[in-house]
Amino acid sequence: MKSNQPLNSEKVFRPANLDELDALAAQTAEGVTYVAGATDLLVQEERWKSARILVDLTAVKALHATLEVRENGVLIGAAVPLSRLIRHPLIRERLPILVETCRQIGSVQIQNRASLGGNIANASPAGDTLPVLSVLEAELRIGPRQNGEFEKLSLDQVMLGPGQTSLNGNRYIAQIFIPFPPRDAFWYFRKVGQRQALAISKVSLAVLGKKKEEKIEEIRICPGSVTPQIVRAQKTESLLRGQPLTEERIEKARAAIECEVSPITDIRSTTEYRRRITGELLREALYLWLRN
Amino acid sequence: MKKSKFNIVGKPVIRQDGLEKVTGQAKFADDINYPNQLYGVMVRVPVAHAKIRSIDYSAIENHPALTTICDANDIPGAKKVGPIKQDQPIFCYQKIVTPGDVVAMLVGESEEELLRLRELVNVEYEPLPVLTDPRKALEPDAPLIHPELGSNLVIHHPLRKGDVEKGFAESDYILEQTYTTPFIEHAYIEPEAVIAIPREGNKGVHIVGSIQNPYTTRKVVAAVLGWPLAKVRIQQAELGGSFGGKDDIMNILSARAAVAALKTGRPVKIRYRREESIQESYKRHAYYMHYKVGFTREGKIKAMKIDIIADGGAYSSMTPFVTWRTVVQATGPYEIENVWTDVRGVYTNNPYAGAMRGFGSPQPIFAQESIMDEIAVQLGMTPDEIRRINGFRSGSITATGQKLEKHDVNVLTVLETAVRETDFARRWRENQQQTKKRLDLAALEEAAANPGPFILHKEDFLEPEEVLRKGIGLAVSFRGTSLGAEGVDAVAAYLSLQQDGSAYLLSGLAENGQGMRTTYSIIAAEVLGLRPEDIYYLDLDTGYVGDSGPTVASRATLMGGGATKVAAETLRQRLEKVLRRHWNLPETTNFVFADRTVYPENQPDRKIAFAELCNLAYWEGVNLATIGWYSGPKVHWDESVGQGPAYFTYVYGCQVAEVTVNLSTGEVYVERVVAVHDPGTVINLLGAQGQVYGGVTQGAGYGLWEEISVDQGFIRELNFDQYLIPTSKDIGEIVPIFVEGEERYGAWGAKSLGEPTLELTAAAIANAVRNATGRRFHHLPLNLEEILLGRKLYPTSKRGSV
Ligand SMILES: Cc1cc2nc3c(=O)[nH]c(=O)nc-3n(C[C@H](O)[C@H](O)[C@H](O)COP(=O)(O)OP(=O)(O)OC[C@H]3O[C@@H](n4cnc5c(N)ncnc54)[C@H](O)[C@@H]3O)c2cc1C
Repeated sequence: MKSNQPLNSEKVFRPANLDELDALAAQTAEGVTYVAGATDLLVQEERWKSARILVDLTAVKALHATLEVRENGVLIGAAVPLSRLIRHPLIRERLPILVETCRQIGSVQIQNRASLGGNIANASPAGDTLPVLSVLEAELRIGPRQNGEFEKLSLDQVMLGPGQTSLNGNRYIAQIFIPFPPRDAFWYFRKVGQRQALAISKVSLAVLGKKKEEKIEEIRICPGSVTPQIVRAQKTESLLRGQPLTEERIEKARAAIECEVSPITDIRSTTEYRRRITGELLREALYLWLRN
Repeated sequence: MKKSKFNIVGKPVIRQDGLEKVTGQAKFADDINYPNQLYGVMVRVPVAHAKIRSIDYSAIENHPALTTICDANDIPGAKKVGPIKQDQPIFCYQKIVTPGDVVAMLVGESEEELLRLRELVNVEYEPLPVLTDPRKALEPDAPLIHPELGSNLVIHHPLRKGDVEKGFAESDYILEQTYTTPFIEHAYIEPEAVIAIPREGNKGVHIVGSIQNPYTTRKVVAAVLGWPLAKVRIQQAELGGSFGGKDDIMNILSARAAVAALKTGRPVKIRYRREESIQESYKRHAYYMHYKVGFTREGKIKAMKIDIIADGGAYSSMTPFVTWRTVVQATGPYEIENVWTDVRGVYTNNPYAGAMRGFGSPQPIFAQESIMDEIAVQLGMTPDEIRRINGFRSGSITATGQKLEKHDVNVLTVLETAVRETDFARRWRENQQQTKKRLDLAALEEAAANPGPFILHKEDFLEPEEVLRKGIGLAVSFRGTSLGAEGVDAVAAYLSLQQDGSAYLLSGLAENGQGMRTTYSIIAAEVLGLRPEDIYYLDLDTGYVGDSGPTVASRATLMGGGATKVAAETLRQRLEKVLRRHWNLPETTNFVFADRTVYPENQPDRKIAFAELCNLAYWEGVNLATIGWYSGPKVHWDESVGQGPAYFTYVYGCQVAEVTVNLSTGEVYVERVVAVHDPGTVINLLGAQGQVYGGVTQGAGYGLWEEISVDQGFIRELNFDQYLIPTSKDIGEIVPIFVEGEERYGAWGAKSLGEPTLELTAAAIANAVRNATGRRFHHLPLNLEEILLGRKLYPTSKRGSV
């Protein structure tokens, strides 16, 4: 690939490694459109047709192949297909909540192409991995590298609202580091769509919790599709943190989260339904935790 | 026991066209291209109701990408078409009556360029008030969709039997309820595509397309061109799904392509993208149904009064026939002395409605089977009990005054089979108990609307274990086979044996994906002692066999099967004659045709190979080709009171749906559907099972997800991201069971199955949901919002979350 040729027409680049990618990102004055699995991009026909420069990320090993298990977590290339995560034995063991969300995305065909980076950068509040990445406190590594280093950002620093990210100036998501939760942590992910497959979420909910001596030591709750930006339900979390998990607490938490979320009415659902279901899902999650 | 007399009939036979379809070799209309081909792209106006003032093409007229423009001025013959009333223009020239309407077609080499150019056509129009509610269509001040007709009434079918007022007076209880069902999209996987090829000299035009009813298409194209029928040849390409949907729309697209092909002298292709397909093609009718039923303490129904409005949308299409089936079947398979039914089809500015698998039956079945369960609940009976009391038996008189006889009237047989298979009554009763405790929905809604001060207590909620509820429900139906009093009912089948014993077969009905070629091959093979694979099915072309009417009304196996059997028997008799002469056997000798051999019944060792016999006949100059013809017996109908033997015979079905409902989210999961059908004799077991799997899944879609909702005439769900059909993950086990009743018509009594499999499922699911939740839902589909909030919520078109 020649990265220094004038970029004044419709072009597709397929950089072969990180250096080529970074050079391309840095030297291209115009905005480029990155492509990983293309499962979002291809259906947004107007977007890809109007894109002047497409940059295919699937030849950059650091993005498309990285799956590095470390002691405290796993480093995942932003363009790694979700089905690789679903099949990976250690991810299945240590991050079942991530595997569960990936499994519920689209269909097997979609999972074979779709990536975490694409799900994040597409910046849909209905992106199913987002609430899960949020409760896992994933760390996003953003390129191009400055002095050989990726910038490290949290999800809410990157995904700012529907279709909005902070990834301007040809910045891209390179990798995602996900710390392992404790082995005995409670986890829950549920998505409610109109049907069982190939359905975009009307509401989803991710919960990660840990008890210590019958009290909730730590709890992270993140709903999807009900807030413009993916944010944790901090008020509801603080209502639960440090408290014993009781039926009464559960009902309070349910009411609290219904107040905390600000769902909109759009093409897939309505404020009324979404608010209600967020509460119901939290209740379902906490009862599951209480009863086992 | 019945099967033992057959060699192949009733066994599972793999589809003849299966291999080329699963390997991607099959040629669908859009796979076919001709040299020098042009494309046609439609010009529409974003308005639901308007008077056209002028169409100005000046901005594009001289553009190099444009070969020509076709509009109403280019039509030499009929400017408006339609199967019953000719009210639908090929190109609109007076009015726009729904947003799918087309005013002109741009023709050129590049579709992409044409798509850009169409934005530049300037149509001046005067907007008119929009009528979207069919219940208001007949009000005196309603805007008239087709003013020349003087009314928005497309058709009114009254049915009067007995004295309903007397029946209600004799009843101990009366139930009254309104039910609605939405517009439905056929959702065939292959959108519309057609090519018209002008032929040299005086040979006319050749059309190849994704066409369900080639003979109907030919009539429309010939009328539009003002040509004799024989000058138009329609050929069916492999068809990627239809479900009744590739009739009117394909006739119109074929006519547009033909007009353009003759104007330019070049082949013209039209192919739709999904959005355009959903926007312009017709739908299953939305129904508004009011049912009033009176019954005694013992459960005997004394009277039923039904008032139905069918939304026909902008054009009449098949509305008169669809609603006719409704009026015949609206009371369900129950003997009721006093019936008063009115079914009215009306015009609105909504997308037009026409034929779709079911054809006027899924709607009333949803209403009638829902109310039957309500009667059972009211009387403390189980749903099967109430149906046993009222169900048709041999000799019963239908609502149209027809006596059911001379075939097995199997309503109760299919019911008992399904009930036994599912242990229905016990489970239904158990589930009724679990629903004693209910969600206080009012309190929950108030809390949701007013979240601040209002905190609910645990008692207001269900225990987490109670959230998942099991339900079981059933529905039964009877269905008139074939066209009935709708029209002429006759079919041709051409069979030609070759010198080596192989054969060509072609019926005048179309392979629309239902596996009909295989069915016919089995029938011919059974008669001639061949294997289905010895028979090579020809491509359907209107030039070869006689007009056999449309491939609709689940009539292909019954009518075309009958014709194929006649053809095969004719050739068999000719071969028998040759053999008698050859072996010097008396006239009375009977032969057995099996395993590609023929022998006298009483001399099984004296065998001749079928191929050898054909060769013998060939050298004797015997005609080994014939056209079999099968026509249905006469039926008649008195329109003024809706009385008469509407159909010459009937089929029966019962489906049981088992569901789990999540009360906290409104999710319904269909765990299992047991589908018991009497289609008469089953010809291809695999084909029959396939009909059940597909029909039940489609019926579940109708019950739970599918809906074309319309906003001021504009369809909201223009693609499959919003119009949700079930996936393989959405439905559990489907168990087909066949009860093969005796029948005199068709090939060995083979009747119909395609539509019966679909018409019952939504009703069975709705009854199962009632059983699970204790709540009755009156409006399809039972989607999450309907179940949870008890009403439909139509999202705005704002795409907030993408
Ligand atoms: C049929 C179907 C079903 C679907 N179902 C679901 C579902 O159930 N749940 C769900 O959440 N989503 C669903 N999706 C959406 C989509 O599959 C996911 O969002 C997926 O994760 C996108 O990943 P991708 O690699 O295909 O992204 P792409 O389409 O390649 O890219 C998406 C966007 O992100 C940008 N981008 C991609 N990678 C990067 C990067 N590394 N750095 C910066 N920008 C980047 C692209 O420029 C583009 O704007 C579905 C899509 C389809 C077509």
